[in-house]
Amino acid sequence: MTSAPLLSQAARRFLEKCFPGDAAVFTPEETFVYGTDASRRHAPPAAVVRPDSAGQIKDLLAFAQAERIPILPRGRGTNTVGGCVPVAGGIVVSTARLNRILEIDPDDFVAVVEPGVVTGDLQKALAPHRLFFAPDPASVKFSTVGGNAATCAGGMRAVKYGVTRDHILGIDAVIPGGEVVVAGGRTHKNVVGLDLTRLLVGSEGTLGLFARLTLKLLPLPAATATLALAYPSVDAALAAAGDVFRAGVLPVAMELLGREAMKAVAMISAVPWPAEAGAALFLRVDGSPEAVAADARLLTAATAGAGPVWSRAAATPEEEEALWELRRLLNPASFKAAPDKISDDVTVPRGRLRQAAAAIAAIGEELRVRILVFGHIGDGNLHVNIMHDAADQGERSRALTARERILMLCLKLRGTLSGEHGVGLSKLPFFDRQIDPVQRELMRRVKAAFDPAGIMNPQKAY
Amino acid sequence: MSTEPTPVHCLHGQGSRPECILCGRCLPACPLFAATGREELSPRAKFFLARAVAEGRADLSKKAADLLATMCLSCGKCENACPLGLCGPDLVAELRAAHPGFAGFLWKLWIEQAGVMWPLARTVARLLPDGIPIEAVNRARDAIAAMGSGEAPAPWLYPERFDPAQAGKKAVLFAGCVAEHANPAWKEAARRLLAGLGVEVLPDPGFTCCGCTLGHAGAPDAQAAMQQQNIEAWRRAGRPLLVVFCATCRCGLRAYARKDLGLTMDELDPWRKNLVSLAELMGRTAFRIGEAAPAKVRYHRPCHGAGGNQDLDFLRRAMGGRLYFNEDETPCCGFGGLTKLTSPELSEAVARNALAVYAPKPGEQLVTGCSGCVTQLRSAAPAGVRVAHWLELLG
Repeated sequence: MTSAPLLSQAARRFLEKCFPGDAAVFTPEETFVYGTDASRRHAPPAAVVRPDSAGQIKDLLAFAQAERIPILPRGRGTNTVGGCVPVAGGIVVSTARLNRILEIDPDDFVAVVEPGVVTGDLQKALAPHRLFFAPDPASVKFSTVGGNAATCAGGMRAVKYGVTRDHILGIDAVIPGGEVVVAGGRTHKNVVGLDLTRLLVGSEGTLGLFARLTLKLLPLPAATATLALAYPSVDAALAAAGDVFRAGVLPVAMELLGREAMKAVAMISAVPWPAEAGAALFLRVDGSPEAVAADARLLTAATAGAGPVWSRAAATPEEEEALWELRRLLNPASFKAAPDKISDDVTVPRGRLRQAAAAIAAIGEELRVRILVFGHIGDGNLHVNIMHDAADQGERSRALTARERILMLCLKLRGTLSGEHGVGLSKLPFFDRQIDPVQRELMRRVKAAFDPAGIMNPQKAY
Repeated sequence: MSTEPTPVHCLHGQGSRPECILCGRCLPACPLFAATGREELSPRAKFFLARAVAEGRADLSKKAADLLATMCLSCGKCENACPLGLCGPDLVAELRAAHPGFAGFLWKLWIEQAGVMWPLARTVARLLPDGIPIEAVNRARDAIAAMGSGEAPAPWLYPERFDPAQAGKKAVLFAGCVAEHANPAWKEAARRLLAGLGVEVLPDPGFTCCGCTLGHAGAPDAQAAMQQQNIEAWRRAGRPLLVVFCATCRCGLRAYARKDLGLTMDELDPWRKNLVSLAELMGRTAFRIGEAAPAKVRYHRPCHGAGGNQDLDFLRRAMGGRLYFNEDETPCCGFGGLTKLTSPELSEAVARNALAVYAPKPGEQLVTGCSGCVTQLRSAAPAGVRVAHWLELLG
């Protein structure tokens, strides 16, 4: 067993007292899984604690600050960038027992939750109130609100509703030393002071530990409809996507699957599209039944020009779910395509998508690596998976070259390294290429204001 | 025919196993994680640790062995959640089988903690790990008998008009360990129903336990011997309908057709088709609701429903609107696998979690179609809430 940096006896005694029973874990076997996440990187933590109250978090952060022990917030460890990997050792704080929905207020249109609530469970609890929480990452059924907030998760509905940051009204965050920052509130607008809530969202666990979150709710649209289409090429599908916006429709979701991505899904699931298709476009609209029916007609007309080779419209929840599950299977499916992958979620201005997709395909061809392209194209967000066998030195090296060239390409198109996964460990080496020295220095000072000793999720994000 | 016994859960363990991608989809599916919030018990954690052990990056220490081999309910929910079809119980059973000391350790525990259900047959005693005295087998059977029928509710479901569709068919009844040793009344109730349906029930041709639990336990030789004894018994009876009323037994028996146990090609289809749940046979049988009926009955879906859920359809027809079932609330009872034996406190935590999810009010009843679930939920149910196998409700 890889040995973890040891805690002092005093530190261990403190944790045992503060987290009695099985709420503190120290053996390397039990803490093993807490050293990893969906990035599949690993580093051993020194201990794991499972608070079930905010009081415990305050005591822990006071102690950790005094002792200079790293603190690693962890929801379900579903992030793909190594955000939960304890590269500097320290104490992993699992939110698995902070999983209560504290309040759903249909008049204020807010919910107050603990960070460990699974986002999908919250959606289920909101549905009877005819309310919903808009962020909808692909991991919605198994990732947490706290984790979604820490990474500012996006998801398929972002094209119409925005990302997690746009739906969090307030956060109670415990910062090193044990103080509680009660940022924001429960109003849907609020311009008093600097917006610390929006700063905390997406901070990747580097500023404080979320103890509770106040979420903005929206009326649940009465109806949705989905149109899935296949085109001969990615370029044709992207042209169709542009036609949709030009027709005056703002879909609630607009997703692309490139040819290789479609093949990967077909390896783990039956698929409805024809084998010769080169790209799939998934569109969804929501609203009143009348508006949805009208928008669905507009979608069908707008997408016809680019020459679809297959299409399927779905208007019942079951039919729609069957189509969208194919999209959600993409991440697990991609692991079937090759032993290893490098995964990025670059984002470019919407108008540059066709240029970006063509250039990515050319890089793949030139360097002889298979590249899966899919993503939230309504946001200009492309998921790029470079498939390879890391055991083959030459292939690994070509894959790494391809990655760097794709990241630089996107920056050149005035895009960003990450639209929604965050930086974590995996994009950190490229951070300076996007963020200039002035911003870097400001970020360092902001970090120091929250976390002067640098104990919160160290060596990550920025 | 010679067979290479392997532990069986859902038999996806055959061939090479894809590598866990740590995506986290199994966490909400795992009843141990749901009840405890301990991620180290999740299937993802087990696959990750087992791989490190296999690659020599971690020792198979006592602690690792405990986590990997003793703390799994063998419910198989993770397999359904996993995009790669990885099955936690398969992993656990393989690890147990690979470490022969494990089965001996289990038996020692069992002897020390009599009172836990264990499938038994003298015929397989010789295949059990060394050092298990035959007296232990007898004591085990006595302990199952001592579980008794518990606090069953008074009957309130009376068959009025049997569906004639099955009349004239021949059947053997596979009662399973609990009904054989602890609740013989279930077997009698099943016989009465079959008689009502006009099905001729042939004498017991010598069935033993389905072998499921021994597979989970990593005792593949004993499991295979039981499986072959059951196949032989079915053959002797003339390959008739094989009627079960326990979801786990049904799941275990169905798996025979997917493993080389000596069923010939001609027998595979009859085995699958003739293996039927009693609930399925009830068809359009009409029932009268008696005065003892509670206002609300919650259906507990056994994890080993394996694509069946025939009980639910049948109970909906028989009980109408008083039967309540929410597709999103299907907690595990915590009985499964060997956790009740190896980590009773975990098993109890899962049962408590299930009852917290159901939150039955006094006077309500919980009904299910799995022997293990009945036993477990009955022991954990709050005062005023009765738990029943549906057979117990029949008057």
